[in-house]
Amino acid sequence: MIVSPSRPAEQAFYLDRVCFDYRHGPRAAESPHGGTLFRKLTFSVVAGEMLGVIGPNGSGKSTLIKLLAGIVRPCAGAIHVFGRDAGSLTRNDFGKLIAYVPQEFLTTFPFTVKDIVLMGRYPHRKADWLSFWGWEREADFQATAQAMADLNLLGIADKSVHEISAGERQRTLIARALAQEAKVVLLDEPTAFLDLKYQVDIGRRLYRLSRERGLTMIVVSHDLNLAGQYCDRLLLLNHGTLIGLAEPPAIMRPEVLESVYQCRVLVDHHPETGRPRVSLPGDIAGT
Amino acid sequence: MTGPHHLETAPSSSPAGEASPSDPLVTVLAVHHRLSRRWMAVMGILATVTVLLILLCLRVGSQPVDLIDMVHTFSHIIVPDRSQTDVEIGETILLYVRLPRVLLALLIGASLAVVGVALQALLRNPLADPYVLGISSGSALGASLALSIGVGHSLVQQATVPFWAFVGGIAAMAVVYRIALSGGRLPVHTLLLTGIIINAVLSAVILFVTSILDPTKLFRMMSWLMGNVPSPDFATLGILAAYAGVGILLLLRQAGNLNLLALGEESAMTLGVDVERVKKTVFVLAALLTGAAVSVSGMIGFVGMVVPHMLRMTIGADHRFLLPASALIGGCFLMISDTMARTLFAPSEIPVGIVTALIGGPIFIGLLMTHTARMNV
Repeated sequence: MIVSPSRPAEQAFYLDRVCFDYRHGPRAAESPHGGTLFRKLTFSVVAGEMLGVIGPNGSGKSTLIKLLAGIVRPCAGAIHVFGRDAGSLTRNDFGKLIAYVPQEFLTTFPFTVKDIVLMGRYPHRKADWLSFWGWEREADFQATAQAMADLNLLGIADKSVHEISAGERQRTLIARALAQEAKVVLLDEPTAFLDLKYQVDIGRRLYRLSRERGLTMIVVSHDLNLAGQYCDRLLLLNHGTLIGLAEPPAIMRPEVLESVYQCRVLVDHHPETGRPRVSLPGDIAGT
Repeated sequence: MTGPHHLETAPSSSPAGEASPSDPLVTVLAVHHRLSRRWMAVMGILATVTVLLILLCLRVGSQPVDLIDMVHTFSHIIVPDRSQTDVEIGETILLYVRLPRVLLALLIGASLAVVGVALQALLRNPLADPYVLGISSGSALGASLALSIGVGHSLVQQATVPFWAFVGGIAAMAVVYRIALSGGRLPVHTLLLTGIIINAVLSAVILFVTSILDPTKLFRMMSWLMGNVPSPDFATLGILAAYAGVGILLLLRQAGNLNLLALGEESAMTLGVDVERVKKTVFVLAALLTGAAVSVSGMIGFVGMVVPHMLRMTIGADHRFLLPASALIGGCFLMISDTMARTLFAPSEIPVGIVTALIGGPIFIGLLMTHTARMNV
């Protein structure tokens, strides 16, 4: 396993021998490896870093994010969130600490951008009359407006989610995560459905937010180059096994990627940043 | 400020265009005041419309009642007129026949529409409706069993009929939900098909039970299955008002939760919603309201689907608006449908379920087509 020396810093997450299998979940039958996905998974995420989670299809990337988000619980082992045992946290505690940005949401209901960003305030409701009927207070509108401003959404605040582009929908979900004022933002393939322009846009925004706010960001990505460019560290998974957790140059090496992805890849350097860059082999006719 | 060209604003080009400190603050206040003022305005308008429609529906009928007479009649209730000894026939019709029936239609329509909204959010499907999902027929079975197996006419016994309807409804809902739930998801078509089958089976059971136990009531039972708003006595009206009032109020409280659930259970969970508890609460309340409505009026379809659909297009998807608005407009919709049912072919009446089905059916098909298109993007 490739592990770079970690500096002493606050840990956003510490996973201690976490096991997970699908036997308890609804998709037990679909799992290709006897239901067990993670076996004694141990690693930690430094507070304030931007961590990319990469790996082939079915390697457990999304499940890992769901474990961290508290959507599914480990069957053994412990997850510590900022030093607190996740098992002892309520859903609401989770909501205040960790924001989850799903891949894409399909809804038939015409919610407006503002409606959705406001929903991020749910974990902050108080035990009073206003919250009893599900209404927000001044501070909530403040945080919402700030989040919408941060992601350039004020101009489309009252548009329905059906009228906006996929990139704007993704920004809406990120704004909701910001309105949530959590310390960690988990993103499940935030650029999966986006054009190149929006991929770069979202990547840059996330990077800047993590730097400016000190947010811990964990991003699942299919796009190795985008992940390598914006992330401080990469976590490489294969069949639920942690192959490596280190800076991009240590992970994005041809021999590592080839053994995991089972295909030949070329790695050179980005002309501007010098970061590693992955290309597909040139022999398109096959050998 | 973000101009009309916000789409083209590249992230690198204009840090000044974003997050300037004065902008959000102004927007905050604007958003806040707009939201609360908008709620007041929307509900005010809808409540006014409701009152006007009540008066209109009271006027229409085999014995038209003048607006002036109506005011007279109502003023007599408040200030009894001793000098007038003989009670006018119009006044009797208005007070003891038409008014209870109009109010009953209002309550039933409100209950069904609110249940529709809640189920749609929970199942993330705009086609959900207590009738389409087979909940109504479960309630109908519960109620008809309670009625056939000798729940008598005393008030206490009568008040328990909605309870048995509730039991039947919740059982039917559990069965439909279990069957349709595949791999943690609820495919639209499986859900609808299951509901339709349950509906067909339970209706057959109801008619079977009726023909065995009391064949003389078979015709009445069939018309009840089609949905009928009776002219209730004040006791029945009171019982239903209690059930509906409590149920609707408790559902209104779930508006914030329903907003989050409408966007997906996982995402709601990460925002702090206790998904399982909310689901149980909403299912129980939905069965309760459906049971109360069905035990009085039989199976009236499509109110819970048509009304929320129309409202979403006009006032948006926020359940804090949608739920109370649906209660008002659902009430109006059924009240008008019932007025049509009793006047269009007077002196004979048609079951109100026919009217709502004729209006709702085409809307249902249209909605099914757009929904399928949208979810397959």
